[in-house]
Amino acid sequence: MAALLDYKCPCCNGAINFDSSLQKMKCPYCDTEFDVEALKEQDDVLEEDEMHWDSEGQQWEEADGMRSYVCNSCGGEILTEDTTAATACPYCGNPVVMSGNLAGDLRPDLVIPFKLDKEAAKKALQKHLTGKILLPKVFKQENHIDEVKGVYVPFWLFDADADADVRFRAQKVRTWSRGNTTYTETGHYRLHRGGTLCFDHVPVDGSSKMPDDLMESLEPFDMSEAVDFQTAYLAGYLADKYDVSLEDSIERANTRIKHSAEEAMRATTSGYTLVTTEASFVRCRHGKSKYALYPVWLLNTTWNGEKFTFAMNGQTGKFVGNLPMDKKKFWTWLVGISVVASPLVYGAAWLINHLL
Amino acid sequence: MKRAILYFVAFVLLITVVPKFLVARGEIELLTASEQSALDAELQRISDQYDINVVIQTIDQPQNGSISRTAQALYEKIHGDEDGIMLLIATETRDWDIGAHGRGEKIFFTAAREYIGEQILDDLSAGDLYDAYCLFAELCEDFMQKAEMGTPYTQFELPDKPLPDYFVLIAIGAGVAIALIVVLSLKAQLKTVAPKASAADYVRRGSLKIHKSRDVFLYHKVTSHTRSNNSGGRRSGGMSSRGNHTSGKF
Repeated sequence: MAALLDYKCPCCNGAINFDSSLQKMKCPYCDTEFDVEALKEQDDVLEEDEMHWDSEGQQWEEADGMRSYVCNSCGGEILTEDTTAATACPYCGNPVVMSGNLAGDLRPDLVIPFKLDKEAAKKALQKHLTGKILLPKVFKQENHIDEVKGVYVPFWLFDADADADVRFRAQKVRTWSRGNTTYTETGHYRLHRGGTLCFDHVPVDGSSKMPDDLMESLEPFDMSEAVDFQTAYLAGYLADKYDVSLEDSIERANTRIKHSAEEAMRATTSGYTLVTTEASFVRCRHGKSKYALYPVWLLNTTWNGEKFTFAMNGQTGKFVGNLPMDKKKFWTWLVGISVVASPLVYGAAWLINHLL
Repeated sequence: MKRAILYFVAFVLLITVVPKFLVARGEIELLTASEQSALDAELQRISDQYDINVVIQTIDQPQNGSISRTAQALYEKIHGDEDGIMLLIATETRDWDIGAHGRGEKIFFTAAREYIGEQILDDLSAGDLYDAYCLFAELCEDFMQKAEMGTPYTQFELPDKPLPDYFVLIAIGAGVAIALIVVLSLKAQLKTVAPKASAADYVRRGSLKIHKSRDVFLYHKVTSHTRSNNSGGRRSGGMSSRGNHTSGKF
């Protein structure tokens, strides 16, 4: 079994990539297009339980979390982290897939193919920077994109039925006046709500290299466009296998499911001025999990010696990333608006006083 | 920058609003010679223009304990049955009286006298007689001018009461609050990365089934609050009107 998979055009033998706009494999040299299904047989190697490796020309070594491969195309050494599942040869750019990191138990169940390309990611960054009044002006001018990479991020997807039993304390406030006296009646209640709620494909980031809050900010992904995994989808992109186990990810999924179940119960209370949770018990059952790869464009930029990471959902185009704030602009706007608004408020009050 | 803004706001408050709050019942400052002559000239001008005496008298204390009777007697002694309006101030007992005479009774009806009394009360309470007298003259002229134009004030249509002094503070506070809301929302635009607390996007549609829903009443609590009739602690006493006189304490 070959440790590296790469995809060659049968017409011109050039390296072919997955084209997000066509949703097909395309040769950039002769423009020939192929359905992904046509390359399915290449994935047969992923079904084998045991690793076989040919020691000639494809040696790989493992040291300090790194692995070394030999490019099939140019013979150059490809040095990657041991979690890398897809990358490109740094010498010839040949996209390669590390089948060893996608075989057997490591094989993803589903993949959402990229729908948006690198140019869309760059345009989305420019749009993200537009219209932000408190963004330092020089950030737009001076920041340069260090790196734009399309990455398939490993996710654990959880299905579960949640049984929730929640107790709330609630208040109803009523006021009325009689003569010069105003009366306020506060009624105190205890509310019991119990029910069932079903969740499908709750995602938890399975890569320790990807910040969890960044990945969660990109949600939701549209699962209706998820397809059975094939390595061909990875050609031209980077990919990692998971390094956060299923067991370690369950807790995060449970937290989100529990929160949603409580909120769903709270939504069934009405007519109260204030509702607070007194006790909550949520039990998950019929739990199922799947392993999927989701498309994410990552952009890194450096400004003032500080690194900024932005991410775009490779399927929906949602773009996120924290930006720096110009403190001087903040205080200038605060004082400026105060100076304008205060006389306006006074003037409005004077006008109302005059009209009344 | 933050400190500079705080100092600026404190300075503005110090010179505009705080003094008004601090001076509740001040020492009475009698008029200087120049103030007296300026006031006399102004009162004479108004009186001549509208052919109604506008008079201000200051005494130590009313005779026979009644400021209104003292004012009536004093006006009749000086001006007889001429048309006019007179403000009498007793500095030792801190009484004031506004009395209308002849045609003045029609122009300075009860509600008008009470309105004028309310407006000058703050200055009288602060002991600033000159400001109070000037305001009295200004308000009298306003009433007489409207009457001359054929659109006199009535008890249902009096001049606008100015906004209270503390409203400057409220306006500044509201302006800063509006600014904070705007600026903090602009700041929030810069932060787009946050963990998701819930999994609401992944709830299977139509899967919610409620099998227990019970609301239990525990107890209720009733509180009451009685509104005070006194409109402000700064002013001394209320006012009363009888006949063609309105009087009170300051």
